[in-house]
Amino acid sequence: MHEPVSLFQPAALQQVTGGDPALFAELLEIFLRTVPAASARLRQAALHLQVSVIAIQAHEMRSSLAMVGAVDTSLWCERLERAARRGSDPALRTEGEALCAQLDRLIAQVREYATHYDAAGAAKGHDHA
Amino acid sequence: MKHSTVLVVEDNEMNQKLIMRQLQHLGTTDIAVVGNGVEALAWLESNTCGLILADCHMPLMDGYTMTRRIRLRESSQGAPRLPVIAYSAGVTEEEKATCRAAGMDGHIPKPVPMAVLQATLLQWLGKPDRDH
Repeated sequence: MHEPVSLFQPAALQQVTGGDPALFAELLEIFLRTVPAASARLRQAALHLQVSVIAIQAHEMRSSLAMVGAVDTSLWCERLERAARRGSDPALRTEGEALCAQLDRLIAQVREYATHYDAAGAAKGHDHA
Repeated sequence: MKHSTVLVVEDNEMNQKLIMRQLQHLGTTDIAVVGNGVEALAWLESNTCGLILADCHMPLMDGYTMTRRIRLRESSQGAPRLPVIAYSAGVTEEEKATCRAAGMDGHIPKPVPMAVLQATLLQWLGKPDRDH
């Protein structure tokens, strides 16, 4: 059995924050407040093929995803944003739903990590690097 | 008119937090933040700043359009040129050319290394800002 691939890369966020544990915790908090909401909006927009909303929501999440090391997911958002800007295509519905399923996994991983994260600088039972 | 040292124009809240903290680490505490070009232009109606760091791609109005509007306003009012630096993940030559064509004065990557941000502040503000 292989371990499931971790979409969340704490080391990437660690690098961005320059080792500042308070900033690390603040960015985790913002991620968990903004990305699930944007993902929910993207899911609804994909379901109803609202292409302008798909493009906006996909764009909104790109930076946040890259910052937590989910580079492939960020690039997926970028591709979906570009496709949505080209116009309506039924494939956007399935592609959007598939992306949201991946976002669900990522959000769960970040949430799990944040639950155990100690803002003083150590992650209980986790390795930052 | 209220003056801020730096105006950050950025729609992503994580990026807002990050660049603000980086600026604060470099001693710049007088920072204003808005979420898009429309808000930036409105802010500039009643405020001034020494430098703008602007994302290129934002909802409502992107950084390119915002900069063109600022340059038009400066031209019509005979106002001094306000430095606008693109703060964007895109670092291709094509994107840099688009920034220049819009009237931007430079480009820093996102996220920006501290040394690059420090050099940018030094270049455009003249000295490290220790206003706190």
